Amino acid sequence: MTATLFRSSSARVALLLIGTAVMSCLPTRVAARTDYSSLRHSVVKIYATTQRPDYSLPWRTHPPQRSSGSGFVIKGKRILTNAHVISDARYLEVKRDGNPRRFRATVAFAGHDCDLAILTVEDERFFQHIRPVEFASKLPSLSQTVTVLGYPMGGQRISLTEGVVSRIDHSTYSHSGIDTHLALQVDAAINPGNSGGPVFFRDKVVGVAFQGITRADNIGYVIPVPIIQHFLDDVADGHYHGYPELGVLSLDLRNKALARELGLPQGETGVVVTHVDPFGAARDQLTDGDVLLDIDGHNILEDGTVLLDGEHVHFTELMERKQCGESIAIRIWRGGASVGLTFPLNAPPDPFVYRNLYDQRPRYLVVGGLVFAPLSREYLKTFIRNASGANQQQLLYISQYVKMDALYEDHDEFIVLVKQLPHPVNTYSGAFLNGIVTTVNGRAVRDLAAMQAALARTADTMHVIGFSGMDDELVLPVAVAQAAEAEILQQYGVPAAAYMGETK
Amino acid sequence: MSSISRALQPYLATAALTALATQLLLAATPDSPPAEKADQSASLSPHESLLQVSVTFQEVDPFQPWQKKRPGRRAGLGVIVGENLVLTTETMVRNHTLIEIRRPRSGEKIPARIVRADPKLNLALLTLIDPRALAGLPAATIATGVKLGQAITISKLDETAQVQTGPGMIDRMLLDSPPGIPFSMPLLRITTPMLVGMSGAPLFLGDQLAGLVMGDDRKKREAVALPAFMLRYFLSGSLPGDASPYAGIASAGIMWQPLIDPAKRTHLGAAPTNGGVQILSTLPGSGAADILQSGDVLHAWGGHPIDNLGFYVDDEFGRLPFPFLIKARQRPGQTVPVEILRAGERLTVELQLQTLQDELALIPENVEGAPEEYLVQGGFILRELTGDFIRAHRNNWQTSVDSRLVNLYLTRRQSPEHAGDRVVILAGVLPDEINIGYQHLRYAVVEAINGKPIRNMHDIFELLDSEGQLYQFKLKGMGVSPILDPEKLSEANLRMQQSYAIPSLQYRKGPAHSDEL
Repeated sequence: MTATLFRSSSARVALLLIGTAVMSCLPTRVAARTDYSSLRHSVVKIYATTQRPDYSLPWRTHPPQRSSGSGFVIKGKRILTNAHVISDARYLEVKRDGNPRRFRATVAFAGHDCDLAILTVEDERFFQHIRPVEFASKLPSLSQTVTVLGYPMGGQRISLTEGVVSRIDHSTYSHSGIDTHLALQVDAAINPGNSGGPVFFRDKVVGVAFQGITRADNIGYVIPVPIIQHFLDDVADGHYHGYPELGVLSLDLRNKALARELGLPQGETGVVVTHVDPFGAARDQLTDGDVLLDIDGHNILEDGTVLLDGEHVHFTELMERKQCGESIAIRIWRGGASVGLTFPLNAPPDPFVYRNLYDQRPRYLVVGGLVFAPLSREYLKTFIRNASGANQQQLLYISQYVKMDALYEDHDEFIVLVKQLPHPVNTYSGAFLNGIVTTVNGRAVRDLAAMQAALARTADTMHVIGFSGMDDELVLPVAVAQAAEAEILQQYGVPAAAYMGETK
Repeated sequence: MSSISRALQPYLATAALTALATQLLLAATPDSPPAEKADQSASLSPHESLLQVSVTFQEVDPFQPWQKKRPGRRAGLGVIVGENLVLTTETMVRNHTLIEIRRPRSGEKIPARIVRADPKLNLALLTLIDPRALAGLPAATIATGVKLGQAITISKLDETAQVQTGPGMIDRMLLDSPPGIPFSMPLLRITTPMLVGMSGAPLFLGDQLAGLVMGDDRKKREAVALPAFMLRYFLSGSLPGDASPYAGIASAGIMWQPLIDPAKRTHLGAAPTNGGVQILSTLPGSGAADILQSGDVLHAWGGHPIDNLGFYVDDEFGRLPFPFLIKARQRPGQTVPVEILRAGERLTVELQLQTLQDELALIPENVEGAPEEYLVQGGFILRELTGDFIRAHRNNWQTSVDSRLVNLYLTRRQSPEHAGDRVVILAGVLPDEINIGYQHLRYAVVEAINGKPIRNMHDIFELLDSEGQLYQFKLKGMGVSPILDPEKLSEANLRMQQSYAIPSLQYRKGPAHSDEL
């Protein structure tokens, strides 16, 4: 299943602008008793010009793209939309229903792990006469009819489509690529341009329309209120912290033999911890072999589920309700006894979670025309579909097993040779492409900054770069590389030999 | 005779004797055609040495190792090379259940068995169950004067068992892998307009066997053939008068690459223009293992200087990669003097050649598709990771096999930390009550069983024999080991044997078996 984002691309918008009659998109029938004629005023159209970096040539960007999406006004003179509508935006404008004037907008917060964002508009006249929407207090149920308002392809003015809630399930949010959260699946038409728009049940918003499946019909996804509320609560202190990760892998205890071996007494159920993420919140609290019995008072059953609001859901869903810094109470079985642990959900930044990246400039280092950059999901995407060869396969292995196989021990990030800008000084270095740097001039290097320092410090005539899993080393004559640097940078349009990120 | 290395000279003498024997045989029959004429006389032409070979084969099912896949058939060629001896290709007879040779003229099918087979040369020597079945048919003599530029004929049998011949010319000698075969070997490149289409087709120089075709390229109008002297070596020990048996193809156990980069040459201490290649690593357990080191520059092999691309100049065949010396001119057990440069110093070291043993690898290739050891316990299918198992996933194995296993295969296939180390995996889990909760653990790497570390299937069988059952499995990356209820395990095994129709829950090979020679 490929989830695609329904932000309408510039190409599609252009097609829509040229030669299409402007149609009113209000349907002839209107949902019983709900008057959308005033609710529609809270729905705004967002115009974004975005520009993505090119991770295969990290100083370059892709051409700016024009796209549009939807959003809606919430309490506090803010507009809620999807992060993917505004990520990497260079210029944002918003427009109200029925009023052609466009206002400049800026991003106040973006939550890339849950695909939500808040915009503000400097000119407060934008919010005149607009009522902020109200959120529903609970999830809709299957078969309830919901209404999607927004500005999808097919016309210029606001559009209304209707459908039922088909499924409530966990889905990967494709904006991040790896985070999964609750999502409502509806059969209302959700199309490019609908992203960020509100989904109403009666007169309350139950979610934000955000993605669909290209090859399927009548399947659209909606971010439900609990995720929205989590996001709004998170940013209340002026910063977005994101979802805390407990950081455990576990095996359920449906197997009675295993439960007995762990000494679990009759009547107790739970899951056993098989791996603790060194960058997760539980890193100094839990160890392999601990049986998680309950979390915040919710009893974990033998298959790893808990009863939540009358339904059985996987226990990890409890984490969906927690904020960073909040305490969690876990009762475990350890060493033949029940132990209660309470600790705050704090975790250091994890350099090994390979999430799609937004709103940042890629770091890189060029030496002798060889471009080194930290491993990222963005870079993996450039070859993931047809990975071949030992080096690319090694990158895939690392991205999947870095924690389980403890591959991070000598690294704070993985430095990859991503490109060879051809020049006589590097003409024999092709075999090292996609390799991971382990040593530079005899020193182990843990991150890009360390590599830069090791290269600068050398007194030898040759740079010798060692790579993971390879017996061969890359040899670069120092003087020749330095002399050629200006020429290489100029020839390939590289503005600077390195970008190390914002100084902290 | 142009100079041939010492190693081949004993065989020359034997070849002469064989030729004599064949002459006597021929002399007994009325019309003895002179050597120059190719295929004129029907009763005595060397093409009478050509036979049709048909093989029924059956491979083990890699995903259900207790059963075999559907049987298949192959048809191809064989050449009579001695009394009741037929030479064909190894790929022809791989995984055979029945080999049959068809007598020309009568069309009778006679069963045959293998005397020896070597996938590294893609050759197999067969003998017929009925030793008299080939009486009256000529055996082809192996040519001894094969040279570049010679005109040869390629022969094959069509569907009606008629001989077809076509002309060809020996263009050059190569060291290369024939299509579909993962080993490189000495090969003659033949230019020919003929569509050969089958491997094992013989090349004749006059009426002598000059080579066996291993592959052809219709578009390029080329074929590659294993040359006569390699055929002759393979037959050692089977022809009258042979002193020593076939000892396999030699291997030094070196991973090397050309040393062109001037910066690297300087770094390794090599002068810019005096040749030599870079040693990357050596195979554990090989002759080079304790003698050569990563970073050595290899300058000469057995007295022959090597250039920076790895070529030397062969007296007979011109410019060839130096491993040609190892595979064509040297033998396992032979000690070779080797000149290297190490830390700026020129040294001569002695290296003993061996055969390339798949058994020494961390992940054996098992090119022959020989049945592999396995054990099914509580629905856990335990086996070692091999190239054969990976290739069974077909062309998209790089994406369909677990990335940890693919990474091991691509980067550490030849490098066990200790001799005998293998990668034991859970190839799958057959769902049953006893393994509830573990049924998703496919491709997991097994590190210990019942609390004891295991390095290979041998360790597992030993543990099974001493403890009676295996119930606790430590898997890589998991801090808690799945457990199968020991009290219910035997019952579960019997149950699953029934329900999944498994004739045998384990397969063990005998004590350390060597590569088939």
